[in-house]
Amino acid sequence: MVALRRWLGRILTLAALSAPVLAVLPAPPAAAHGQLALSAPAKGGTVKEPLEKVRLYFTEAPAPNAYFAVLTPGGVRVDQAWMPGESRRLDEPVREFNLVDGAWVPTVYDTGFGIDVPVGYWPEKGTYTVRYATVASDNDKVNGEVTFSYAGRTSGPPAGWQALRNEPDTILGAPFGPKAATGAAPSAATAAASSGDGSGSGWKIWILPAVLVLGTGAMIVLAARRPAPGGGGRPGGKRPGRSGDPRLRAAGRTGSKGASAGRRGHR
Amino acid sequence: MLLAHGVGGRQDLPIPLAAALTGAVLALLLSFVALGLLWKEPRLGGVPETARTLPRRLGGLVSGPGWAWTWRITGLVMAAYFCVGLLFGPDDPANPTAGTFYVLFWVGLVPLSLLFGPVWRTLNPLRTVHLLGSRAFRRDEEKGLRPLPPWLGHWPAAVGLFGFVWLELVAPERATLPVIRTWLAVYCLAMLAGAVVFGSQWFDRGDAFEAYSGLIGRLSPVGLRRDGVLCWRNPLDGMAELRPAPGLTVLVVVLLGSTMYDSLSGSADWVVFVQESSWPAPVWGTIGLLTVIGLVLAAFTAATGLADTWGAVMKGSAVVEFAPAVVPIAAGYLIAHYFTLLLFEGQRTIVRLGDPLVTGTNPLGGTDRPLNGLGTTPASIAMLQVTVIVLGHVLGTVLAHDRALALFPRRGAVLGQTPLLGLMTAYTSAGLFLLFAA
Repeated sequence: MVALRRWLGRILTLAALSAPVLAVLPAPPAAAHGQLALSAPAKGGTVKEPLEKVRLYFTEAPAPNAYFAVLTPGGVRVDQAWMPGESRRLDEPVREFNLVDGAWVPTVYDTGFGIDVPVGYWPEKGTYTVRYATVASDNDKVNGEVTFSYAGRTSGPPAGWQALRNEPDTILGAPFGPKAATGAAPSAATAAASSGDGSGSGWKIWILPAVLVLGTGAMIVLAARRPAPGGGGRPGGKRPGRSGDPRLRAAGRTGSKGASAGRRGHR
Repeated sequence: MLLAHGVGGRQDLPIPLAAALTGAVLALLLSFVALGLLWKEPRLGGVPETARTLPRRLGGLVSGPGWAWTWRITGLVMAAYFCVGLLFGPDDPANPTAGTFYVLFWVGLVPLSLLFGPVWRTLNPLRTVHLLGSRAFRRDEEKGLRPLPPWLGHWPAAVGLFGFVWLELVAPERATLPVIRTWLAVYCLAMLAGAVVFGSQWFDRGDAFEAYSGLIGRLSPVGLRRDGVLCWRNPLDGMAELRPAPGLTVLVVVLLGSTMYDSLSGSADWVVFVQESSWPAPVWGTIGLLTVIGLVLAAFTAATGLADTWGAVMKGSAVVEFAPAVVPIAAGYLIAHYFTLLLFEGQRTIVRLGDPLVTGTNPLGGTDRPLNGLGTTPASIAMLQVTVIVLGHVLGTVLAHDRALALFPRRGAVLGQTPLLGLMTAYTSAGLFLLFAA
C-alpha cells in the first residue's frame, strides 16, 4: 500500500504539473467556406531556395477578382499576376461547422483548389508575407496571411521588373488596413469562436456522454457483482497457481479452476 | 449570421482542456481504487452458462444455413458495386471510391463490429471467393497446401494493418484511384495466395480487416456461448476471451498508435516541419508513423514488463496477456477521431454511391445538398470525443485489473498493476492532448 500511495502521489503530481503547461497552448484557428486548406511553403516554414511561385489551396475556387500579394520583410511586393493552378483531392476531407441562423450546419470539403502566385525575385532574407483576399460562394469574405521565412540566395529584380500595385477590390472590403497589416489581428471568425459565444454548448451536450457513462458503469458493475467463475470459494480462498510454474498460470489457469479454464477456450 | 468553426477543435470543449485531462486522470484513479477494493477475484472470460439467450427465433435464424450465405452474397454484391467506381469511374473527387473505402468501410466497421461482433468475417468477399473456388475444385476450404504455423499468430494481420494505416495516413495521393487500385490489388493477391496455401484459416489470422473487425467485435453485446447459442454477453467478457498469441500486442498497438499519429500529422507544427525538411513528405510520414507506433509499443512493453517484475510473474508473459486491454482504448480513440468523418463524409459518400461513374444523373440527388448535422454541435462532438476516450481507458483498466488478478499472486496484484495505471494515464493524456491541442 505504501508503494501504491507513492505511485498515486507521483501520478497526481504529474497531472498537476502538466495542467498549466497545457493551458497556455494556442488554440487552432477556425476555418470557413472557401478557406485556405494548404500552402506551399507552409505557414511558419523556412524556405532555403528561391522559389518560382507560392502555391495556395483553397476549399473553394477563389473568385476571379481575388487578390494575392507576396511581400518582402521590407513590405515590397515581389509577386506577379496570380493564376489558377492544379486542383488536388485533399488527403483527408476538411470538416467544419457553420452557424447559420442559429443552427450548426456541418460541411465537408474534399478538393483543394490551387492557385499559383509567381514570385519575381527574392531581394532579402527574413519573414515574407503572402496575403490573400477573396469571396466564398456564400459571399463570406475569405482573407488572411501566410508568413514564412526565407533564408536562401537573394537577388535583385529581373530586367524590366514592374511591381504590382493593385489593391483588393472594394467588394473584398479592406482586409489589410493599418490594423490588419500588423498581422496580429485574428480573423473575425476566430475571434467570435473563441469568445465563448457558445459553440453549441448547453445541457443537451451532456445527454449522450451521460448515457455512455451510465452504460459502461452498468457493464462494469454487472461484471463485478456476479460470482467469480469457478467460484464458490470464499474470496482469498484457494487461488490457483499461487505456487508453481507461473507460465502455467498465464496459460489459462489450469488446476483448481478447470471450469473457468474451459470457458476461456479458443473461439 | 454565419460563423465558421473547425469540427471538435479544442476551442469547442465546453470545459478547459486541463479540466478534461484532470477529470480523465481522476476517473482512472477512482476506477483503479474502486476495483482494488471491490473486485478481488478474476471474473471475466467467455460467455457464462447463465447468460441470457437471444430470442429463440432470432438465434435459429442466425445458426441456420441461409444466414451466412445471405451475408456472403451481400458482401460480394457490395464489393462488385464498389468495383464499378474503382475500376471504371473517373479519378475525380465526385467518385465515391475513396469515401467508400476510407470512410464507410474502414470507419463504418467500428460501429458495425461494436454492435454485431466480427461482421467482416461473414461479409469478407475474398473469403467467399475462396470458399466458392474451393467448392468448384472440390477441395476442403479449411485445408490448404500446408497447415498454418502457430508461431505466425497475428503477425500477418499486424503487417497488413500497418500496410493499410500507411496507405490511409502516409501514402502520397492516397485518395486517388491509381493508388487505391494498386493497394487493393496487392492486398487481394496476398490474401487469396495465403488462403490457397494455408486454407480459410488464413483469413482469421492474416486478413487485416477481419482482425480489425474481430478485435473491436469482441466488445459487442452479443456473442456465442460455448455450445454455439447466441447470447447477450457482457462486452468485458468478450474482450477478456481474447487469448494471447504471437503478434497480438503489435496488432493492437498498430491500431492505437496509428490513430495517434493521425492526430499528430494534422498539427501545424508537424506540417511545417515536414514541409521545411528536404526529405520527401512520405518519408517523414513513414518515420512519424513508425515512431508513434514504436513509442506506444515501448510504453506498453515497459509498463507490462514492470508489472511483471512487481507482480512476480515470469518475465515477458504479461506483455501479451495485457494486450486485450488496449483494444477498448483503441476503439475509443477510433470513435473520437473518425466519428465526424463517418457522420458527414459518410452521408456524402452514400449520395455519391448513387452515381459511381459520375455521369451526372444521380437518383439520390445532387452532392451539394446540405449535410444533416443530426443535432450535433461543435461542443457536443468535443464532449463525446472526451467521453469515449476516457471510457475506453476505464474499460482498459478493468480488463487489465482482471487479468492482473488472474496472473499475479495476491500480494503482487496491486503493486503489479500500478505501472499499468501509469500506462493508461499516459495514453489518456496523450490521446486527449493530441486530439484537442495538437
